[in-house]
Amino acid sequence: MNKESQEIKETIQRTKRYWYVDGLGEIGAGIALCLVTLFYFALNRMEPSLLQMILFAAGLPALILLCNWTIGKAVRKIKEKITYPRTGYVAYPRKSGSKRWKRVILSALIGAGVGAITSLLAGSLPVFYVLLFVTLVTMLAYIYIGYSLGLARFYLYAAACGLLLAASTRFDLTQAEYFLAFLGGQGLIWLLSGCITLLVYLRSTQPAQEDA
Amino acid sequence: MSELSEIAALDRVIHEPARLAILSILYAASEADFLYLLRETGLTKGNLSAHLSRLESAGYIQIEKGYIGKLPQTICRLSENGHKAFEAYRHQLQTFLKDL
Repeated sequence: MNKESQEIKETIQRTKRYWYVDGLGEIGAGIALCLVTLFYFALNRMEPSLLQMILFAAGLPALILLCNWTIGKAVRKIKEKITYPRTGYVAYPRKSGSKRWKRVILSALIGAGVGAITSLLAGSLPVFYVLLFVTLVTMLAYIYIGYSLGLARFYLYAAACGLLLAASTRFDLTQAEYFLAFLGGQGLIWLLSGCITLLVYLRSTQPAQEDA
Repeated sequence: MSELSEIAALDRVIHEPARLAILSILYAASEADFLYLLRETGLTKGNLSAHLSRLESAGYIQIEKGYIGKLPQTICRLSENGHKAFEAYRHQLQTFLKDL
């Protein structure tokens, strides 16, 4: 009985993990992070002006939403061509109604909480502690995803975050420069990891013909 | 309830390793195709078809046959009854393990 219970848990976990089997999701997220980094970099290069403020306040969230929509759609289309003919098609339940709103509100609250703590720390502590806090929150998020999906490479992402922080302390970076390096670094890690996963996946699978 | 009657109360349609695996997959996903179920369960095509038919006739899953281009595609999803039955089965299993 215990075996059955364990098998149910593992099968559910494996099914959820299937989204990451081909690395396409990570490549998409990596591209999105790199685009956001480039946009943030361009904004930092601009002279302080009203336009810069507007772009910070509205442009960045708009870019994130646009990336989420377009890249998400592209990833699903590519999966239809590459993944589903090889290892099968799986769709995941979409949160709807109140569940969806609960999720949005929770994400917004966590984001606002992290932002508020970061601002508080920025006013009273050296920059390093702000960076340490942001890095730790990101690492915890990766560890949580890795644990809940049973996906070991997310632990490597967490370790890579720590390495990024350690590397940044070797240079005399400002807070904005660190965030650029942190975001860009995350994007490149996701891209690299996604490409390796995709390569391994393509080498280990062949398109199958379903004749059920 | 005694341990024996608790075991006897388990849903026999679900309490079969292959069908339990199929339902566990469909519980985590909103839908999955035949190819995915075949790879994940390790069953033969004939065996998988038989188990899917059994689950469909019990009203636990819905099967939709279609095509992607020229390739046939069989999509399976858990029905509302199947969802409830699977959750009830898991609950029974957990209660039984607690009582041991």
